[in-house]
Amino acid sequence: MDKFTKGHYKEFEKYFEAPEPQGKREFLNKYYKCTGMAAGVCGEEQPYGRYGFLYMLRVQASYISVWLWIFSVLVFIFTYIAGRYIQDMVLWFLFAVIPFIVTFSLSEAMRSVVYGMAEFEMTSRSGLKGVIMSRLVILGTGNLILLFAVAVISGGSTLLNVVYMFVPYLCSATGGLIILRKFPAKEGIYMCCGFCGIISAAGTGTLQSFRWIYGAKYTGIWVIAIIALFIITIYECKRTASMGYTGTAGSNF
Amino acid sequence: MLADIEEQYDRLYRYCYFKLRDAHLAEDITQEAFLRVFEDNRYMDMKKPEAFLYTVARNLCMDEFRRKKPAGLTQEKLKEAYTESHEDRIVDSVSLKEALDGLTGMEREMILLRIVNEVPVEDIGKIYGISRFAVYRKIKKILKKLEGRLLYG
Repeated sequence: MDKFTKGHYKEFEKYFEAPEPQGKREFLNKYYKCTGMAAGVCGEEQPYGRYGFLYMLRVQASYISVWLWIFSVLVFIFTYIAGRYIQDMVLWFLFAVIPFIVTFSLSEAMRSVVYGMAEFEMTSRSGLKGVIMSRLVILGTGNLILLFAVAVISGGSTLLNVVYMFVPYLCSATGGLIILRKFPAKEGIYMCCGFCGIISAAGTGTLQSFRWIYGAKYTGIWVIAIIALFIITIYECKRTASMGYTGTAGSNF
Repeated sequence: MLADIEEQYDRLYRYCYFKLRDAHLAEDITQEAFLRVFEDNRYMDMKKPEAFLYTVARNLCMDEFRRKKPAGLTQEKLKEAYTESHEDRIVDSVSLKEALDGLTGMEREMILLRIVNEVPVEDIGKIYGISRFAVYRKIKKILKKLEGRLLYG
């Protein structure tokens, strides 16, 4: 580029010169009027009819399958009943069920990708990233509320229940998100089911055969595991949401 | 956010005009591209929305080009119209004009984006879906080709 002088660059500009735009002033005046900005100064105001993330959450919540909510309510009811009558079985039951709640939630969050709607949703105003992220937020929050609720009603120490329940939950979520990111959508869901089955079996198995790891002596390790898994899950959520939108305009828009 | 919307408007309009050779259509598409970008929620996530803006404009130009093609808007006709409209008013340096005419449409587009519109190499890469190193190499190659044409005809 060094061999071209400023004069050459001016020539380039002349070569690509276009006739004077006729509607520029009118268009930009409308823009300035809309954003309340002074002419020529572009601020941070949001122009035109853009909507916020809360609106997005509300819209996406209405698209989440009602069966998922019914399943969550059933888990809650069963835990409540079991907590009153067969207290020993509650944790065992929850360990078996939690990974599958994660699988259902992940398959729900990734529905656009699984059913081949990714292309379609990428053309919408929010893009696939926004859609997946908002579903993950809704389902993740729903699951957390459910876990806290069942931890409270399942008897014993609520805090310990939360600690013990969150490890299989976060394990399933992290593993599931990695699988869904690495493998094609439908196969990924099957593999996710398999993985959550393993977590479920491992959770119930350790509860039966290695009960000592649930002793007070190891609570610190459980807490560290939760913190580590929580950080990894957040990171994986972001990576999964970016799956359809890599931030590079050319490959996605 | 767009640094200076007035300047961006002119640059995008120039780009659309280069693609379509029709001032009214180019302006319509420029405004349409701006409106689509303003309305898109992803726009707020972008620190530099130029690449997004150019990609939207490029896609709109392609749609327009596809729509118009059956009516006889071929690449040859475009080139012809282009040469005629520019012949009498623009380039003083005939040799540079000839050298630029000798480039392919894609090569001229790269020159327009990088040198005239000063779009960063990274953003050009995003527009075409290639790495910035590839953009850098391509531009270097085009400039070398131009230089050769200017020196040896």
